[in-house]
Amino acid sequence: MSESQLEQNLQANFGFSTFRPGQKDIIEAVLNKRNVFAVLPTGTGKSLCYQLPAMMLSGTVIVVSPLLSLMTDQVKQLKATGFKKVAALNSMLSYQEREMLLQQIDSYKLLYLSPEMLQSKRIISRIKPLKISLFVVDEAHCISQWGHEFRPDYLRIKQTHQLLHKPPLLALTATATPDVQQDIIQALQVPDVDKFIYPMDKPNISLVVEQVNHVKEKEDKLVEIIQHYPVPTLIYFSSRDEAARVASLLQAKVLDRNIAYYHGGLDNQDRLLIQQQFMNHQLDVICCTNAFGMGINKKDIQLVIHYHFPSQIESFIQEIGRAGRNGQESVSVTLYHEYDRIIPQRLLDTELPDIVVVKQMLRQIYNSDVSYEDVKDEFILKVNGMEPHWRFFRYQLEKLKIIEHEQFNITKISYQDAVIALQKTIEKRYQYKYNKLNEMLQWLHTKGCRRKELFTHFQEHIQEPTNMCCDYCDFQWENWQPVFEQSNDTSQSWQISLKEILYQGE
Amino acid sequence: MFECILLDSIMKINGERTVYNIFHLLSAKKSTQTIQDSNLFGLTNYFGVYKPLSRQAFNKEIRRLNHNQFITLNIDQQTVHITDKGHNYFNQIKEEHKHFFHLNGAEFHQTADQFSKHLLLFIQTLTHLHQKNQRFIPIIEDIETQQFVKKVWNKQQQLGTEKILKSIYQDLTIILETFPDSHAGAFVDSLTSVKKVGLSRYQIAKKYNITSHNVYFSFMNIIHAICKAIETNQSLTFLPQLYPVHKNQMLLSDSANQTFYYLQQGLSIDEIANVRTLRVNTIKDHIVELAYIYKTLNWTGYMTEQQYLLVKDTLAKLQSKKLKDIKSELPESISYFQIKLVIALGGRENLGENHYV
Repeated sequence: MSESQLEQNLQANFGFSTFRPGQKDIIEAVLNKRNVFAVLPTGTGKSLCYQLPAMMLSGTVIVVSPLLSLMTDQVKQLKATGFKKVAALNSMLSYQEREMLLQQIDSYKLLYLSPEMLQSKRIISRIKPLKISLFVVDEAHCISQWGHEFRPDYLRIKQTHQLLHKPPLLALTATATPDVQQDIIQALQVPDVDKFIYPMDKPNISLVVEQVNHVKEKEDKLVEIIQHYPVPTLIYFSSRDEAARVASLLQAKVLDRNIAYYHGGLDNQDRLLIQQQFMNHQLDVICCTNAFGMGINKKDIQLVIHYHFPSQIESFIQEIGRAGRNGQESVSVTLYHEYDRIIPQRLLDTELPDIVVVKQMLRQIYNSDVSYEDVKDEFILKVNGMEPHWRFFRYQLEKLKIIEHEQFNITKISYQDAVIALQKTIEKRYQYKYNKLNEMLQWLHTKGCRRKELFTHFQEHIQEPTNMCCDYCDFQWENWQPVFEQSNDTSQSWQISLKEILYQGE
Repeated sequence: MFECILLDSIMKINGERTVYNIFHLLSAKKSTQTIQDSNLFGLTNYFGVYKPLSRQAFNKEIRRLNHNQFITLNIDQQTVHITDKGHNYFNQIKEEHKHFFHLNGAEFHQTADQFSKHLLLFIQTLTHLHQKNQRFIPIIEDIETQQFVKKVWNKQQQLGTEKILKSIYQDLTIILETFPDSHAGAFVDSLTSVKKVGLSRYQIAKKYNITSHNVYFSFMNIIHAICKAIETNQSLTFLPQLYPVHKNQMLLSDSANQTFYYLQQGLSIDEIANVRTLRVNTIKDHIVELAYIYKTLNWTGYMTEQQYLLVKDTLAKLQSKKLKDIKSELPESISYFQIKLVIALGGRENLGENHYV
């Protein structure tokens, strides 16, 4: 394919005239049926690397992604641009919707699947006859045991890929240290991979940490920043209640800005409306949890504030990466209080199942004739319905060959050894997570250049910042003078609003 | 409005059912029991008027009413009674609402939901097309609605966007003018157009200083009013196009409907129970449910005329709707089924449909 042809396709399908760095090389390799592994930072158009090939190649492109909301957002966005041969197959579908989708499965050019769907024999049997032109593993770090969000279900991707007669594979991630990169390539077991690793650092984002001594000071500082900089802003919180509370505090104190909150506890309709309002410049500031942002394709966010910091650097980099997508000068501010560390610590402690529960359930499996389903139900009940805990347990037992084809087999390993193995795994995993949290904390306490420190795990070379670098190097608030854009929200009578909405002149 | 509806329901049920019956009623759990009760206590208007209500939110609201001493929780923790304070409060808020209260769940619990989705998506679509903007993310995600709206547009597009906009504007204005400004305002704020994305429930709640429950009710109340206007052929010009194809809206569980089919085929209770592998009592419950809808149901196979009259007289004399009380007033030979059937057949005239509007 000639160069200009690719650009023409880009223009025709997405309305862009040029590619962003990385996209073109990756797409060319994909179109040449190479196996590709790519690390592209958040907000640089990762998904275009398979969306455009899907429109150009004959056959179906399959994308495995663990992020349900991201999938559905992408489907919506693609449909809105006029590309309708796209669908997402995941647990959010009703029975009827799934049936309808499966019946016309050969009519899609781009098909998103959640990893759980790969477990269904029925779905695999429907996909198998398709002509699959590309098999995409999005968020590929999930396949690495040492990635920051390992998902056991992701290990099945390798099997599925082989089952589908190994079509060309594209593994994508936004965050992976060199160790994890190695791990991913090994786990996927594809020979002869083209690697495209792009730097994670964004030279247009300045990095600022503001230490505070008490909560009140944090709130005051936040109010001050929001008052001074009326740019599209995201504020991250680690709890839903805090996001809502601080949103109403800001609403009360900063009257000329439109502020809302967003978290996973809102119903679907409200979440959709808030996102759309933000896209449509009706909102300036969103107080959110990490549920926000994945599907958001807003280019003009210029300020990302962490009211609470996340439990690992990878998440932090992704979240600040939502700013400055057009390369404009942007700022990341973390408001840090010494005690803030307690929150992620507490969250971490509930990430894996309690060893007491694990032992209890193992004893049951070894001492009585319980069925797989009974163990599953009881386990989920005991861990307060936390599915991921069950998936972790199941995966560990499968690894130890205690579970085979959803049946227990206690002859392979003794009860004692099983307990020890699980205990070790859990400890190791916690150790790993705590190390991650410590990395984050260390960064907050850095005494040197924050930019260097933040990206040191990911890459050797740091790009020259295009604006101010960080609070250690050269950042000064008074030197940040973004262009202000006032959102418009006028309060008026319903009669006038209705006239405006329905285009009725006076 | 939510308070008003809860207090009204509590008052009418008068401790003879648990509060969860009210929850099931509002969220439209279409079980035989819920439907029978809504008939029995004259609460059919509230059937399914708040489908997204969660049990948690409901419990919280009941606790709040209790905290404000509008109701008292009985020892069983399941049933409640309204207090004098609650009664006064109810009368006061009922007065505020009575001129614009249109909720009619029995009639519209399905239609209203669908119609509101059609309306929201159609306005978004129409304003985008009016601005020659074909690309947007639909505010309503469900595919049925999207297909419906597409069909309406295909059928009506020869009118041109300008004319349709005008018609919708006129229709909505006629309806909205009959409501207080805050209700009309909240309704308009929830509409999404090409220029403006509609406000979410919690944003409207904040703007008008009402609870998010009441945001839902004030919106739905207006939707019911439009449904009523459409059904009674008032002079709306375009909104009727967005009205769902009218399904059989009778308040009848699917299961009772099946039983009805077999009854019409001439099968006896025992035979139906056999065919459907259900308990005899379940079939009897279905017959009671059917009796509420079909007043002409032939009951002569289930009791003598003498028995019928006896039960009817007793019902007229007694205040209580507790079956146990009624049964103890009657001879041993009269069954619960027979009592329930008489209530259902004469239910409306005997017990009255005393809604607060």
